[in-house]
Amino acid sequence: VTIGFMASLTGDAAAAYGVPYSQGLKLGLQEVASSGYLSSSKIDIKLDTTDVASQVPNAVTAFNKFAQAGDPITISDSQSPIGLAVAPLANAKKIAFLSGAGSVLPNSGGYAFHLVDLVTPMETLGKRMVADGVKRVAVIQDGDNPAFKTLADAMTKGMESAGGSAPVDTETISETTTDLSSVLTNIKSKSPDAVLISALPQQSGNVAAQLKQSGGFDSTKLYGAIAWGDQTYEIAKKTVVGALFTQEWAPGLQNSQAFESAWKKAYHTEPIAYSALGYQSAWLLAIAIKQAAANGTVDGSTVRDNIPSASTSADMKAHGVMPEFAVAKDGATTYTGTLTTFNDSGQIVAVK
Amino acid sequence: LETTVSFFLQQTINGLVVGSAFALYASGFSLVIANLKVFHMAHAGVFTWAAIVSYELTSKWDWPFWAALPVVAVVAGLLNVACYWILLRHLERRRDREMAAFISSLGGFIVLAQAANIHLHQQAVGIRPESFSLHVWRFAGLQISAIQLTMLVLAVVLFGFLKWLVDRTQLGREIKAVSFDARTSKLLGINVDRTNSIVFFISGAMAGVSAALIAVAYKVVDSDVGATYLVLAIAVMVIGGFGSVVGVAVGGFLVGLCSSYTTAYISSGMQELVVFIVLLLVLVVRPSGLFAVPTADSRA
Repeated sequence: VTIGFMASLTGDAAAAYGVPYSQGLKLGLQEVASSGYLSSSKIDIKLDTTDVASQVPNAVTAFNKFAQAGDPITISDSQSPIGLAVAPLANAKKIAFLSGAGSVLPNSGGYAFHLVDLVTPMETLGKRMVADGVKRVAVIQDGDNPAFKTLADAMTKGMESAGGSAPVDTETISETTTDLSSVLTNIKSKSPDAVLISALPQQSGNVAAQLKQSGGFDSTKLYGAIAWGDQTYEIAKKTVVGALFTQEWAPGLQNSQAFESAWKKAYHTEPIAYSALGYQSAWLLAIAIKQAAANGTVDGSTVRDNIPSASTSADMKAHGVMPEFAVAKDGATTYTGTLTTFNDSGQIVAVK
Repeated sequence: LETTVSFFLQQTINGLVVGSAFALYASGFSLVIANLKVFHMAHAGVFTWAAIVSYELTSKWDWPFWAALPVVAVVAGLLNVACYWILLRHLERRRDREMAAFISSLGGFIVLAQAANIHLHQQAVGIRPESFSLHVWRFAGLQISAIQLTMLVLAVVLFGFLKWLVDRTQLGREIKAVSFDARTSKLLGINVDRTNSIVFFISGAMAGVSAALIAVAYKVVDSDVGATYLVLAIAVMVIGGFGSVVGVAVGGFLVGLCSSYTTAYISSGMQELVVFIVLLLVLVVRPSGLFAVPTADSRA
């Protein structure tokens, strides 16, 4: 079985998503092969990788090439625009399509699956905030991208479901906003005991740094959205050490130890969330292929039909790394996510 | 009532501070427009590189801000002089000089911004928090941080210096003469190239100071930082009046206050909308800006 992989190995998405996902996917497929998981089915998985340079036109071209070659499965590591462009083609050609996009994809035939769940981890964070004793939260959200409002709303839903209250203040900023003194004065006037920053990683770092600099927030707890990442620490430095935020996955989870040690042995670095997502994708497809083979043929339709059951199977629980991972027939993925923080050296680590 | 008044005054302080940053940035554009009648787009690229130099000195080499500031100003000034000689000087004899100079300067801006992007590996970088005091002064329910106070004081001092330079010195008279008629000035013995170079140096140095202040105040530098403030700088110049030192200062403070009051009383997401509504209103009432200078007179 050949899997066509539209990889963002260069371009804007390469460092944060494409390269770690690609490495995780390859590591997962190596482990599938070395463990002999598919040997009883007499199936080998081959990965046909094309660097699409984080560009939609390149991804569409690569998809057409894979379709012509008869590949039953295609993968895109990230980038909602790529997922949105390729999903209708995958449905039309009846090719199972796994995307690392956060957006809901057009899915008339049920062939497109998006692997990133932005909402459930934020609800988990909201529940944790209530458990932390947060009663008056103020939200600073990026108004240029509606996804950040969705994330903040999910946090509110999580808080309310745990008996907490709606935010006492919501401030909308732009991705180009640099001076936040007026916004912080607004927030200070509402006397919050916590601030949630739902914005791009570097903008979140900027907000956190100015929050610290402006004074008056010394006893205010700081929380972040799932979008936080290394750039947040790069900008805010020690200001965000100890601040809670969510990730799809982070090092330190109990069921991830084997994955983490295999990763370090292979790449000599720390894995990140998209590394785990790539690894999870490899096992998800291997299990779905095995199930499809057991029932007859392996093609786009049978893999599509088996992905939801594969995602919650005992094999997935044994080999996967993402807690409570489930893929639905409509293509949506859910998982609880992982509560994380930055340690003193800026590394993202899981928090219990 | 006390809380309401205190909130209003705090937002006024915030607005004046951010307005001073806008004004300092816009002053460089304004000087060049006064001198050559060219909208020097590459000024935004000079601003970006000044912010990067500030980051390198304060956050990579751990220089104190006050040691880095003059170096950043000089580097930015020299880079702007290089822009003049490379991008604009050779176009002065062309019949369509103003348009050609604008396009050449736009090209220079693109080159500088792309070079900055490559230098920063397409990432935003953070300024070391210890590079400036985090002290905050509090009085009567109001507060002002050390960097806010520095921005305000430096803006007042630099605008005072600029006003004095243009109105009271021989160099100022030469700048006015060149801006009025470069060819006649040359016949009268003024070294036009030298005068233009000095104008570009001062303009770049102002960009350097504002970039260093903005970098240390807002903690983040990326290759778009010059472009981020470009639209607001244009608004400041249009509101204040092209070529007027006082106009740019007042325009900056006005835009800053508009932004701050909009955040306080309407919505933080509507800052630019309100600023540009004010700009349109000013253009309707005073098409040449609040402090317009006659075109046949000094523009500086």
